[in-house]
Amino acid sequence: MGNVSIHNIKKSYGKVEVLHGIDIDIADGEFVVIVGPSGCGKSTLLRMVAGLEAITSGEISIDDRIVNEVEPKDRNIAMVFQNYALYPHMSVFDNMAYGLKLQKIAKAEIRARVEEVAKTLQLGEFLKRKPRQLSGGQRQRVAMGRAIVREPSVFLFDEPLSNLDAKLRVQMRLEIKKLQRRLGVTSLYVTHDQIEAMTMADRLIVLNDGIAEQIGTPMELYDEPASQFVGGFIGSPSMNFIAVELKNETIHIGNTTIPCPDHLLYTGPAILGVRPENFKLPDSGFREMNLNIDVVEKLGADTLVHGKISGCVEDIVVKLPGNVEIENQSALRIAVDLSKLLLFDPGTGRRVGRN
Amino acid sequence: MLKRVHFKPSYLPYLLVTPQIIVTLVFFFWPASQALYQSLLVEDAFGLSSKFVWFENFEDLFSDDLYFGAFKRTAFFSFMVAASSMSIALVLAGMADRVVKATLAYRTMLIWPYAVAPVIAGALWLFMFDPTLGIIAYVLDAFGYDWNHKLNGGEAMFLVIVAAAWKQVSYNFLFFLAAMQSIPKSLIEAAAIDGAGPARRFWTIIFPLITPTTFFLLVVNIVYAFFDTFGIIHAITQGGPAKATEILVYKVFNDGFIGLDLGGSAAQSVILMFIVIVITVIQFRFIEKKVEYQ
Ligand SMILES: Nc1ncnc2c1ncn2[C@@H]1O[C@H](COP(=O)(O)OP(=O)(O)O)[C@@H](O)[C@H]1O
Ligand SMILES: [Mg+2]
Repeated sequence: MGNVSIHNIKKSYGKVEVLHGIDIDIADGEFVVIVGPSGCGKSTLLRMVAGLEAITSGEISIDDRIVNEVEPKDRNIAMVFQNYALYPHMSVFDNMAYGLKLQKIAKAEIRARVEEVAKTLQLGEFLKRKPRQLSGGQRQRVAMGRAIVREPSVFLFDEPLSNLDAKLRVQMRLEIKKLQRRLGVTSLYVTHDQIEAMTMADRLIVLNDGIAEQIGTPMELYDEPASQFVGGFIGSPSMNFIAVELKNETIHIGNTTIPCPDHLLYTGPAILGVRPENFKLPDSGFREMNLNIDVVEKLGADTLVHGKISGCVEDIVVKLPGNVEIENQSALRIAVDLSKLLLFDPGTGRRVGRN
Repeated sequence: MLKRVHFKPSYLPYLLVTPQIIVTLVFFFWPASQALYQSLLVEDAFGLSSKFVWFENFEDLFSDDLYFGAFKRTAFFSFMVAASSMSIALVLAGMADRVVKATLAYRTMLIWPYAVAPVIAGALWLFMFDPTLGIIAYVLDAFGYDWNHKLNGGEAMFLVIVAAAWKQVSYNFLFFLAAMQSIPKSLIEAAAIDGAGPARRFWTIIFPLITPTTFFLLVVNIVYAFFDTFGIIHAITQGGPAKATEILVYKVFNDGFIGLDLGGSAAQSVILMFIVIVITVIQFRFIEKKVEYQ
């Protein structure tokens, strides 16, 4: 029940292929987020699951049934659109009841179901209003309600929060997550916002140019990114990338040399990936380097130091505790957590040197 | 505080609107005032003198069964023209909205009839339905139907309705299509997921959402049927047979220029003018309010 299986899915518009073979199996009740930059094919993939877009090749099954040729209405799915797609001429009640009426469900039951869902979404008092008489957040909840009331086996979300202001977005993403947990309905959620993706997902698919760069839990993607793209996309501020040279069990970073940790097994030029939070102020001497400071941002809880490691050309960000004293300094000694270093191939961007 | 910008007084703006004002005065206000004035006069049988009679012409009209006949006929004619041209246009637009390939070709072809002058449109249909020469009359004959709109009033009415509606389909089509294409695609998709098939989507989502356009077109079509169909009727039936297709505008022409009852004819045009004013006011009310949605 409620499982979705996407097998070698490809999509072409005319001669242009926009999805190059996506594979993922989604378990019943799982919350899977499709994340990636704009134009990478997220919506296209979701719309193929919904049945709104023809499948060029590959296979999609829902509830263990191949649905390639099945009409959207017979796929047992519900979708929440970015612009909510509420019917502007119908009241909130009618918007939510529309699908149920078409299923020829008895009037009394429709009323009961809509009212119950409206109550959980705090929409009870708005049932008689038209969508245009609601705020953005309320409209978003109506769109959610319309999906929930149909009791589908899969929810599909296409950037449902991107039209809300930042504060509401944070609040709604929590509500959606809680709701999904409670209802236990399999969900496929599209977003370009990596924080939304990280906080909501059981598992993430990182899409890049129609290719699934990596599929995994948020922490897997954070700790073990499969490519430079995933490393840079997940986490905020972004991972730092520095061109380095590895030889004789040392890493040459600019004009500094640090010992190569045991988990890295590689020689030659590479891209070193270090998260801003894996830098710290020095405590025990070696593996220190010199950071030439450009800008210091005080965020309260954290301090972000922007600069360059001496001898390197890349701008990097270092995240330090909020209480560090950096007063008009032009340089800083910093240490790096060796156990968290990652290496990427300079050509392909794939992860290398994993021991 | 906003400060109003002051320009130096200039004659240029007045100069620029003058042509429009002159055109309006010469071709609208002057004839309209003449009609108003004429409607209060009665001419003698030879057209040599006229007498001021206040509202006698109107009184005559309102007690004239022929005039009420023409009124009812016009109402029927307008309703049929508006209803048939709008529903055909709606179906065509509904289909064109779903067409993906060769959209431009379809639209271009559908727009052509609008460019045809009313008299030509009339002549076109007249030829096709001509009882002795017309291709359609010939086909009907093959099916055993003896078509002759020159004798049969019902057939004559049918023919002018077809010709008038045909010409207006393009215009309605354009507006309907534009209205349908301004409906966000995601609404249709949401309805499809909710379980509505194409016909259901049309009646429960698309049709209600284009109501403002439908109202607008209804007014435009009625005005068209009332006033712009003169050429079509003149070319096809001249109001006949036995006044079966004599609608109000045609009666104005017939009574005034053929019957030479200038006062009565002027009174009729004043009544028509009044109808236009009422329709226009209704239209503005609806357009201003955008008919409920958005
Ligand atoms: N109907 C279409 N015709 C042609 N190209 C399309 C169509 N829809 C989307 N595309 C292309 O497919 C790619 C993926 O689009 P989309 O899935 O909407 O991206 P995302 O949702 O990740 O921003 C884009 O390059 C876009 O230009
Ligand atoms: Mg998208």
